[in-house]
Amino acid sequence: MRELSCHQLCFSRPAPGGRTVGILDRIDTQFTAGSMSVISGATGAGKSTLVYLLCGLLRPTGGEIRADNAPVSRWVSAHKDLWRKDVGIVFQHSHLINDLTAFENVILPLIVRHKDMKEIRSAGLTSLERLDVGHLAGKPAGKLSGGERQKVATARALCTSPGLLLADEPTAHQDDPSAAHILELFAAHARNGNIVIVVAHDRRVLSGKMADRRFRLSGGNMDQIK
Amino acid sequence: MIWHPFSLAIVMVDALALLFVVKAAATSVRVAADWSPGSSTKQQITLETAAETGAMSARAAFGLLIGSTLVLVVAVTNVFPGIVPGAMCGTVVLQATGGNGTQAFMFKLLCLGIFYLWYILDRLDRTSPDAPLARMNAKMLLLAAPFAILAVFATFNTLNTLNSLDAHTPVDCCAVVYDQFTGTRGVAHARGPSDHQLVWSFGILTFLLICLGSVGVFWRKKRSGLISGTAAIFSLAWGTISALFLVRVLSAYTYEVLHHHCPWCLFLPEHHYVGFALFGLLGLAVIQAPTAYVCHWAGLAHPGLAEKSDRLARRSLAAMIFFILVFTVAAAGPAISWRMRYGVWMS
Amino acid sequence: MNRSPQKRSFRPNIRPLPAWAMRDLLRRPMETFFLILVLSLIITVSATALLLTEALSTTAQRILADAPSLVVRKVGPGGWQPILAGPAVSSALAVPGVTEARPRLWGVVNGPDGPATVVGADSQMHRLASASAIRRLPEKGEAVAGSGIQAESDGKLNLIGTVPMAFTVIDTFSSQADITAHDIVLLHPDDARHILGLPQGYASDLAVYVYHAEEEAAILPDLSTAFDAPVRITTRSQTSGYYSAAFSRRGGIAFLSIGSTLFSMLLIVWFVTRERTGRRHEIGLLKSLGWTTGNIVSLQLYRALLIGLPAAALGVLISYGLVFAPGVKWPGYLLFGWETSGPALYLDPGGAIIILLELTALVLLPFIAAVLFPALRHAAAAPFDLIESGHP
Repeated sequence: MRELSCHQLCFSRPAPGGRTVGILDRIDTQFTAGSMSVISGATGAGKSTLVYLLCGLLRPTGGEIRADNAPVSRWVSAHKDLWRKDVGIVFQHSHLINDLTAFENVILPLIVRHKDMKEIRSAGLTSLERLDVGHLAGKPAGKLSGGERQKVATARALCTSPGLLLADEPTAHQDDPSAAHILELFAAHARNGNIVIVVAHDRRVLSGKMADRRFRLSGGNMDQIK
Repeated sequence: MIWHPFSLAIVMVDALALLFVVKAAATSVRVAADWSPGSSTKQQITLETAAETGAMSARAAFGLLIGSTLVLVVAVTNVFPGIVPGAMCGTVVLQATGGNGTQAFMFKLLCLGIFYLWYILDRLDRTSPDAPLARMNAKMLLLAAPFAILAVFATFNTLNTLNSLDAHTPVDCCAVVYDQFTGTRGVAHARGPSDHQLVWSFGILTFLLICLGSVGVFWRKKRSGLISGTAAIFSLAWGTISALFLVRVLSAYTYEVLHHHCPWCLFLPEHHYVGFALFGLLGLAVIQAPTAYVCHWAGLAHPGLAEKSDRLARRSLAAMIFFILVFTVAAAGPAISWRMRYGVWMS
Repeated sequence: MNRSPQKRSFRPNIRPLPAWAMRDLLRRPMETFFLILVLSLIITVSATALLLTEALSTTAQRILADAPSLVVRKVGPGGWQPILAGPAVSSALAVPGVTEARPRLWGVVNGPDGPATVVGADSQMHRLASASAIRRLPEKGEAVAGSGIQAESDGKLNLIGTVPMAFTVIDTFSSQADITAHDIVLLHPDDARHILGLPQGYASDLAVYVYHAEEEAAILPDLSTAFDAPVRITTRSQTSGYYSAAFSRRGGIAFLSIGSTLFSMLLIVWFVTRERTGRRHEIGLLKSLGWTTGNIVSLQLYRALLIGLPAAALGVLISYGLVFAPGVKWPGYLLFGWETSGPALYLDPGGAIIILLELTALVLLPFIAAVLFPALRHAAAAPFDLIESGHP
């Protein structure tokens, strides 16, 4: 993926009384391959909603999202599911399957990418090793700590080498060295010609020097601050 | 009245197919009425996901209908002759159903034809991210649904009739076939084409279709609608003539008996179940040109699909040529072998 | 507890999706085991009913292959009448296509435990002795009995026909011949004639043989006009059709009678395999990770096949043992009321394929549909809604 852009992107949710509550209002921006962007904002500003919109899990109520100039947000669900094979997501709440091991959680996206099991195993283990959690591979996800879960979720997002990587608060439960390591991995992924978008209000992310561009979400609008 | 277990099996497959058809049709009604591409409303998002479920249900129904049709052919040709007195193949079995069996096959084949066209268009539609053929495909499924219901209903009646038969009443199988030539039905045959005419008609239509198909495959885009449309009409005529040619002329070389013009004996083990292959090839050959025409039409209606639909149309015409050639070789093989062994044709 | 992924049993050449389906099933081993068990049970019960009736039908067809092409019986106002053997044979042989006509002596008398079929041993019966079915043909006062005929402790057999008579049982038919010889008593022709009240020169019926099996039906009108008195003629294909229909309908009865049980078991399967809320969350997660609706439905299909196919194999194997293993009595008792061991049965490849088709249609396909239907509903749902629905 070379470019992901938002054109007059709006999103609102229905509220009681037949009203709608606007969350994002006419956002115009673009994210290019080879760069890492960081989006910050107060709690409830719509950062996670933006992540869900960018990866096609939600559909904008106005405007559109284009990937390499194709209007992905207008695509029918079935096609968006296919497009999502090139997207990696780190959810804010990890979303691991508790009775599967860390390794099995990591290989979930690889199973449908037509690789044989040998390749899948190798890719999964490599990804866990890169996050320094290789030793947790056989441990059930339900028994991992919050920080470990976040690392496993990050390994899962990175193992497919996605063209678009979206991370929602990826360092929230990490100590400083781990947070720095994760951000370094994201920056390296961006340098490999991919789009990386990190959503955070963690000061370590905001003050770090890894990000090529910085945005701030406030009142439904997004402003570039770097 | 107690049903043969094989009848219960057919009813079960049909019932499952009907279940999936109903599910697909219910979704299709909503898609045909409310489809609004690009809209972000909850209704449209629900509709898109429902349309996908509907398409999967329709695929399941298509697969089950193919299965139930094949199983019905197996039943009529190889299982029910055991319970219909005097029957040795499907001829008497169908005669014993009092027309229900023929109706069941007609509706099933028609339904399979529509489902096949839907399946091709659905594949074409999936190549485009905005699903431009969604509404048309939904209408096509709605067209197929009544035929599926009628097919299941006629199959049920067929099985009901067969399972209510008195096993003590004798009927002579071969007499039915011979009666067609010696009794009142011989009059109808006398008015039909002669063997000589059938040979020529088959030859001319085969040649024409191969020419039309070749032009459609290699002559890019120019008048492709006219070519595939004409091929579609000719292929329907070719299908009828080929079936007659197979039964009235070529089957004699498989049976090695003159004047045994029975289509159903071709499905018996003593003739190596050759009927399944021959009639299967015939069906596949006939459906290809209409498929090419429908693809061409879809490309005209949605220019975004023009290139892919053109490619699919040409592929269908190439498949038509392939199936026609394979059918011709397979059907005429025993006749040619006979001619080479004995130096004469059977006439 | 740490489990090393290297020790996991993923093999390099296995396609990932079926392998994952297997892993997915092993997440709930008891549920999987229960499903395979229930499905095996359903298939065992259904397959036993279907196999038994199909095997009986096939065995009957094999026996009928040696039966006469046509059987001629004289009918009168009172029903069946003895036929005058000499002129009947001449009349039959005068019909073109008839190669042999043989008068037969047989009829039903009262035996010690109910009706018994008495058969007079004619010259053709020597084949039985030469085929080692019996040691020798009975002389006057002697009898060869089927396994269903119980003689007295001193070996005497009392039969009551037009006159009561006692015979010495010299041999019994082997159990292999039970399907035809279970209630048969083979007697010397003079004894048979005497107990059945047939005058000298008369026979019970006339067995007619033709050269081509296909001529049976064609020869029938000529044969019926060849006799002076009214006759009823039955062809081998009519008899065979009658047996086929009777056996298969019995199979239908058996299947229908267990249908409600099957239905309730399938309901259990559906109940167990239905998608739960937690499962919905997983489906949403998988879709957000790049799985398509097709991938998810394929996973469910593989899951169903991984349960269904071993269960089918197990069920068919058990039912095969129940029907064909010697000494197993209860399937025959339940379906046909046989008090003793069933006869030796046969199954041809065509019959086996038909049974497999029937089982696929009647049990496997409904099971797969029961698994797929709820899966279809959830697989196509919007992933965001699914993730939200199961969010902890």
